[in-house]
Formats: sequence, structure tokens, C-alpha cells
Amino acid sequence: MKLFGRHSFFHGKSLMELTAQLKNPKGRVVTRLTFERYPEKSYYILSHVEHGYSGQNLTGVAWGTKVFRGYKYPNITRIDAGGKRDWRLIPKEEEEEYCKIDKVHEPKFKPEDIDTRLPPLMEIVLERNLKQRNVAYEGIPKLEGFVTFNKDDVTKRGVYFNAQKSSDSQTQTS
Amino acid sequence: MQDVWENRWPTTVEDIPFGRLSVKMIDNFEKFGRSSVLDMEMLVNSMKNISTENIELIEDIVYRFRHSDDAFPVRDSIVNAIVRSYIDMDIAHRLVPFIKDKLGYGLLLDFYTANLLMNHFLEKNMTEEAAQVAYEMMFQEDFSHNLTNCMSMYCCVKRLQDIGDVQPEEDPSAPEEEDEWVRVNIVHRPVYDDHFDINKEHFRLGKSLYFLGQANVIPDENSSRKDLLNHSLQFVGLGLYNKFSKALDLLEKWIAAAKTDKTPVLFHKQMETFRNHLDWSPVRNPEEEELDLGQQTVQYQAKKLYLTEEEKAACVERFEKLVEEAKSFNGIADEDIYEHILNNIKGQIQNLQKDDIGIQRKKYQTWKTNMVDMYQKEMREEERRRKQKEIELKMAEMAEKEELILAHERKREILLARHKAPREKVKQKKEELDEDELEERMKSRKALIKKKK
Repeated sequence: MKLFGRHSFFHGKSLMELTAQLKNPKGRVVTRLTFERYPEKSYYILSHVEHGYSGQNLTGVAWGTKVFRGYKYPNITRIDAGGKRDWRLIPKEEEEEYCKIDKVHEPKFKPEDIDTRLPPLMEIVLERNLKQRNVAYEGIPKLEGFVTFNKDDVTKRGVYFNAQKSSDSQTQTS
Repeated sequence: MQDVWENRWPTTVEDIPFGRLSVKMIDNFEKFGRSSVLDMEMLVNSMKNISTENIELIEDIVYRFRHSDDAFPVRDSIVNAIVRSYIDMDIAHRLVPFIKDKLGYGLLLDFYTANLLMNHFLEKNMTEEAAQVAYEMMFQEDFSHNLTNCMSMYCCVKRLQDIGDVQPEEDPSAPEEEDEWVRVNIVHRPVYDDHFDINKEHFRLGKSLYFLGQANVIPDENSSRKDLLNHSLQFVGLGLYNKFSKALDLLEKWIAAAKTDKTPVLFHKQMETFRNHLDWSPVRNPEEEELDLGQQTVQYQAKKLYLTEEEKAACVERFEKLVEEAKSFNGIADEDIYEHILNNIKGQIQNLQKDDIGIQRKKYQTWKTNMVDMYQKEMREEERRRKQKEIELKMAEMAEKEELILAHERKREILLARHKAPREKVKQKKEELDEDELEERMKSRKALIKKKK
């Protein structure tokens, strides 16, 4: 039997398939094949897996410590991409060698370099609105009123902004 | 142990006969797609002296249970009960293909059940089945339990004595079929991970020998002799598994370490088997064109790991060099070690048995108490569900009564609602007429038109 159709982007196995065959997946090291595009090491160390069946498909969620591009995240993260057929289980012999971290990737931006100006029409409209509502503000309204960037939040590493979705954003002053 | 085994089901929990339970469970699987864990435990604990039809029924139920949400995580009590009842009924050989298919049946053995099974097979001299169980324990890569290590080493060494010097069969050539092209949305790439997908038995044997040799199962007072035995088993294992470069790297290391002391490094017999398997190893052609993704199979991916002819020749040269080097300082001893290993392991097993039995007794008792707790929980939940249904029925009745009582006061609203309610459109069905009826109709119409004129 010969198949034809669109070739899949992934060439590995799904995490759920791999962990369903293991009695004790705790402590095993697991990588995604798409992480091989980065020169630094990235993998997950599993701590807990939950399986389920939806119809004929094996689904589930895993939890583990994440090491991405050399940086080890402090808390246990949830792995939702277990269903993608992209995973590889690393044998216990090669775990030590594989887990040695040589380089760490530093995200290339500083908060001071971010341009926080708003588009010009938006500035004009904002100033008019704030005057109508008799709200006090200093200087020109900028992005800091809408979004916050917390340097110390490690889970946002590599992510630039944490947009606030509350309605008070327009009344906040920097 | 037998008394604990027979009293494993608590008396406070119901004991439903096998036939009725199995039928009810299959009903549940077809209606709801799941049946509770308690049902499965009850079923599995009421298996005694069953006919052949019912054995197939059980296997079907295990398959369906594994494909439901309740099967995860795998419960040791269920697996233990299935294995033990199969052993009591003397049909344990049927279990081996189900243990191999982990995704489909989910019989992941824990240490005690594996020991039981291997013991059973070895007493009956079924070395092949015993070795299959040992391979499954190897796949878990968990070598913390000493008794299982010893037993699997025993099974593997016995199997080595049977298979080690037999040339393995060649790969079956793909039969020439007609081109049946099937259209699929996405063509997935077949994957051969070198662990769970291994099909050939001598590969599995080799890999388990290698791992067990690393785990230092064979003790000896003389540490160099212990290393000798374990190293030689590792070497043979890698030879069977066809990882020749890895084996030769290890040999170099051992020779470099042993040269100064002039201690032996290998045994003659293991070297011979390694040489044989080097000669017999299959070869791939590096200039072969790569097939389309739709035509590739898992076997095709596995063949990519074979050696080319050049690599094989290089391995052979390197091997001969290292063997000569080892012979120069009497590094190759001439002894028959298999019997020695088997006797050594037997002694160990007798020492370690008692602890294992003690631990398992406690487990049976904890499982018993767990069953009682689970049963009480489920009873409570059922009562709650039943009461909820009763309450809902009562509420519906009361709502009807209320409507009837207050209908007079809400007369006007009811009339308005009746006017505003949407009416069903009555669709006129198209009549299907025969040709004769059609002709008659056309005739009558023409007659009407003529009349009007």
C-alpha cells in the first residue's frame, strides 16, 4: 500500500505514545525535534503525566521542568504539545551527557531600548479624551500606560510585553 | 503466599459472578465508552476456571478498558490478578503477545509479577517466553530491584545458550505488489526509535545483556573477576545488537586498563560469538535512492542503521588488531562461564526471595483496604446521584401542578402566547407519479385549457 498526500512537518513520536509505554515516566528526559534548530540545549525533565482517550486518540497533559536554550526555568511548567508527533525519549545512558549545558541564550533586548511612543493620531485623540474627562496627566501619553514590562518575571523571558486588559489603562499615568 | 492470594478480596465488598459482570461491562463500554475501575477489579478477581470463550471475552474487555479514561495510571493490583489467574489456569503463554503490545493492552508489569511469570516459565522450560518477559522489563530501564535483575539475567543467559551461535534470519524482501495508491490527508513519517520498536529477537537479547552487564548483577569476591564476567556479557550483548563501534571502544578502554596488571579481559567463547555476528551482520547500500515518504515503512527506517561494507571491513580490522593486542599479554581466558553464572545467580535468588515475599504480602493487604475505601466512595456517590434524580422528578411534578393551579390567573398571557407561538409549516410533499398518471394529468389539464378557450 502506497500513500500520497501532504507530507507532515513533524518526524518523531507523540509524547503520550512514549509515556504510555513507560511504567515510571518520572525523571526521564524528553526533547522535541524542532529544538534542534537552536545551538543551545533544550529539553524537558518529566515529573507527572496524565493520559486520556478522546475517541480513538490518546491525549493528555504532562508536567516537567523546562530547559530552553540553556536556561533552566525555576518552576514546573505544563506541556500541552504532547500530542504533536515531534518528541524523542533519551535513554538513561545518554542523559548525563545530554543534560550538560554549555551555552545560555540571552534575549537581545533591554527595556530602555523599547520605543514607547504611540501612533500620532492616537496621541491626539487620547489627549482630547483625557481633557474632556478632566483627567490630569503629565506630558505626552505613552505606551507605559497600557502595558507593563516586569524585568524580574522569569516566566516572561523572551516575551516583551504583558498587556493589561483592564479598562483603567487609559486613566493610568506613567 | 497462597492464603493471602485467596483472601485478597474483602468480604464487605460485593462479589458478583463473572458472567454477569462481563456482560454489564461490555454494555457500559458500548453505551458510555467507559466502565469504572472498581468493575475491572471485581472482574479480574472473580476469574477462576473459565472456559476458552470467556478467556477471549476477558482479553476483549482488557483491550477496551485500556482504551478508556479510567485505565491511567496502570494499577498494579489489576495486572497482578490477571497474571496470577492465567498462571493458575495454565494458559500463561497466551499472555506474552499482550505484554508485548503495551499500547493496546497496557499490562505493564511491576517487579513481583515479572518475577512470578519468569519463575513459572523457567520451571516449565519455556525459555523463549521467559526471555520475552525479561526484554519487557529491560525496556523500562529500571534496574533497581535485585531479584528481577537476577531472574532476567538467568533467562537471558539461557536464551544466549540457545540462540547465540545461530545465524539470524535475513530480512524478508518486500513482496512485489501492484501499485495501490491511497489518498491520505497527511503522510506521517514512520519512525524507528532504537528502543521500543525493535523487532528482532537477537537485538533485544543483546540490548538486555548489555544493560544487565552494566548493572553488575554478578557479584564475586574477586573484583577483577566480577568485572571480567560483566564485561564479557556486555561485549557479547553489543555484538548481538550490532553496535560494533561502541563495543570496540569499550574493548580499547578495558585493554588499556588491564595491560598494566596483565589481567584477562575477555573469554574466548564470547569473542567467537562476537566475530560470528560481525560476519553475519546485514549491510546496506549507501548509494540507494531514497523512497517516497508514502512508500517508506518502519523496517526501511531501521535499515538505515545498518553498516556499509566499508564500515564493516574497518570494524573487522579494528577487532582483529585489538584481539591480537589482548592475546599478547594473555588477556583472553579460556573458560566456560555460562554454568558458573547460572549457579551463581541461583544462589542469589534463594537469598533474595524472602524479602520479596514479605513486601508483596503487605501490598496485598494495602490493596484490600484500598478496595474497601473505593467501594464505599462509589456507594456514596451513587446514593447522591439517585437522590438528585428523585429531587429533579419531584421538582418537575411540582412545576406542572403550579401551572395548572395558576392557569386561571394567567389566562390572558396564555392566549397571547398561543397567538405569538410559531406555527409549523406544513410542507407539501412532491407526489411521485408514474408515466401513466402523468399522461392522464396532462390530458385533464389540456382539456381544461381547451374548455376555457
